[in-house]
Amino acid sequence: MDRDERRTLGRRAADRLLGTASGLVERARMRAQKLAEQGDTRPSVVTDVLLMESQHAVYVQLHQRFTEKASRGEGGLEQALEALDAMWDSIRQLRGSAPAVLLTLSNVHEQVQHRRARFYEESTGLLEDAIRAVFAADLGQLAVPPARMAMLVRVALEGLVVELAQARTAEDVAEVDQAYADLRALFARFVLTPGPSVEMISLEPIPLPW
Amino acid sequence: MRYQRVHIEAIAYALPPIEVTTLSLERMLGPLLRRLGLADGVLEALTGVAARRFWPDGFLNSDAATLAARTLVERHGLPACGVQALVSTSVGKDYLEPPIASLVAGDLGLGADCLNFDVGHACLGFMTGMTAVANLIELGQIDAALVVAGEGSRTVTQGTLRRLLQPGVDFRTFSEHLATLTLGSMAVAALLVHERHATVGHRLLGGATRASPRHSRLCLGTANEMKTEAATLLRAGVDLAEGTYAAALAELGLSTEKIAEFALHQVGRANHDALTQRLGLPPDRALRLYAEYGNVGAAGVPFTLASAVERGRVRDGDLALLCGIGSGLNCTMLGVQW
Repeated sequence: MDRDERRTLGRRAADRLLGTASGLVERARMRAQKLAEQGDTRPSVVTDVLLMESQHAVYVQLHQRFTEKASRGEGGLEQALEALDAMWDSIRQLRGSAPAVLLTLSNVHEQVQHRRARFYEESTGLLEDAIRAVFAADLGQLAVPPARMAMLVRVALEGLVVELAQARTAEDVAEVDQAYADLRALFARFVLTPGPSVEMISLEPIPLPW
Repeated sequence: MRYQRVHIEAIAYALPPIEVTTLSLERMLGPLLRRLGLADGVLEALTGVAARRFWPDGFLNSDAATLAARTLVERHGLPACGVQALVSTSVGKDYLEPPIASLVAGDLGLGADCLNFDVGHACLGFMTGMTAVANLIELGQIDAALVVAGEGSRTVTQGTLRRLLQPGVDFRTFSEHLATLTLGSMAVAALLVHERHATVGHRLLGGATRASPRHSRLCLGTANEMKTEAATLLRAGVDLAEGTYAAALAELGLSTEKIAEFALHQVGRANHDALTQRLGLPPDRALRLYAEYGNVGAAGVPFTLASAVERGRVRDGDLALLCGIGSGLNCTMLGVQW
C-alpha cells in the first residue's frame, strides 16, 4: 500500500466516524432540546457526553494516524499541516452540530463539566504527543514547547468552532474557512524558528532536592 | 537546644581543582536536548547552577575530607588538648565499611583516644555532626573535635550523563535526573572546642531541629543516580524550615533583624528564593554560592559560613544562623556568634 492509499484510508475512517457522530449528535441534540424545554435536562447531559466521546475518538484516530506516520519517518512541517487540516476537516464535518458543540461547552451540569475537563486534558495530551512525534527532528526549533503549542492549537480550533456555530450564510462560512487558511499560513511560517524559542524567554527556575 | 561552652575554633574548606561548567554538560547532552526541543542554556536557566567542581578521577570522599582537615590544621593548628572525636558527615561514602571517619583519622594520624564515627544525615550531616560533638563538649566528655565532610559528585554525574544519553530517554526521565546534574564537590572541616581551649570567640549558641519523616521517600539517592519528586520536596522542605526557624528564634531569643548572615544550604535558585521568601529573610543577607559550586551536599552550609566570613559578611561578634535541610526530611538551624 503506497502513501496516498494509506492517507485515503485514514481519511475515510475518520470521515465515517465523524459522519456517524455528527448525525447522531444532531438528532440527539434536537430531541434533548425539546425535552429541555419541557424541563428535563437529562438527555442533554447524555448527548453532550456522547459528543465529547465521539470527538475524542476522532482525536485518538488522528493521533494514531500521524504518530504512526512519524514513526515511519514521515514527520516535519508538511505532516504537521496535514494533521492540522485533518483536525479542521473534522470540525468542518461537524458544522451542522457546531451550535450543539457550543451548548456542550457551556453546559454547567456537573457530569458534563467533569467530562469536559477530562476531554480537554486528554485531547491536549494527544495533541502534544503528536506534535512531539511529528516534529521529533526539529523540536529544538519549535517556536514554543510542545505542550504550549498543543494549547495554542486547541484554543485556535475551539475559536473556529465558535465562529462556525454562529455562521448563518455561505458567506459567513467562507469567512471562517478563510480564517482557518490564514491561521494555517501563519502556523506554517512561524511554527519553526531558527532563533531562540519562546521557551528560553520564559524559563522559570525549577525546584531541586535539598 | 542551648550551648554555653562550645566554640567553633576554626573552619576551613578545600576546593576541588576541576571546574565543570553547566554549558559543557549541555554540550555532552546535545543530542538529547535537541531531541527534547531544549535550547542551549536550558540547564542553567532552570536551576541557576552555572558550574560545579570535580575531584580528580579516583579521589575518594575520605581523601577530600582529609584534605580539608589538613588545610584546617595547617592554617589554625590543633589545640594543645588534642582532638578526642572526629566525625565524618558526607552524603557520599567510600565503602560500606570502614566509616570514612576511620579513614580520615588514620590519614591524620589521630590516636587511640580519638573517637571516630560517621553521621549519615543527608545534606544536614555536617550540622548534625556539629550538634553531636557539641553535646559531648557541653557534657564535658571531650575537649575538642573535628567535623569533616568530603563530597564528590563526579561518579554520580558521569553515571547520569551516560544514562541520559541512552536511546529512548524521554522528557520525564530527563526531568527526574536533572537534579543530579546540579551536584557539586567540596570538602569542609570544622574544629569545635570547649570554651577553655578557645583562642577566638566564635560561640555555637544552639538552635532547633525538626523532622518530617512522612516525606522520607521524596528523594532517593544511590551512588549512581538520584531520583526525586523535587516540587513536593521543595514545598515540604520550606514548610519544615518555617517551623524550625520559628523554634530556633524562640530558643535563642533572636529575631531576623539581629542576624547578620543566613548561611543556607546551597541547592538552586528556586529553592533559595522559596526559602528566603517564606522565612522573610533579607536576600542580601543570604549568600548564594550554588551558581558557582552547585549543591555540595553536607559541605554546603559550613562552606557558606566560611565564605561569608572570608568575604567580610560575617565579622567578629556578628550573629549568623546556619540553616540546613536534608532528605529525610530533616531541618536544623544553629545560631553562631562569630
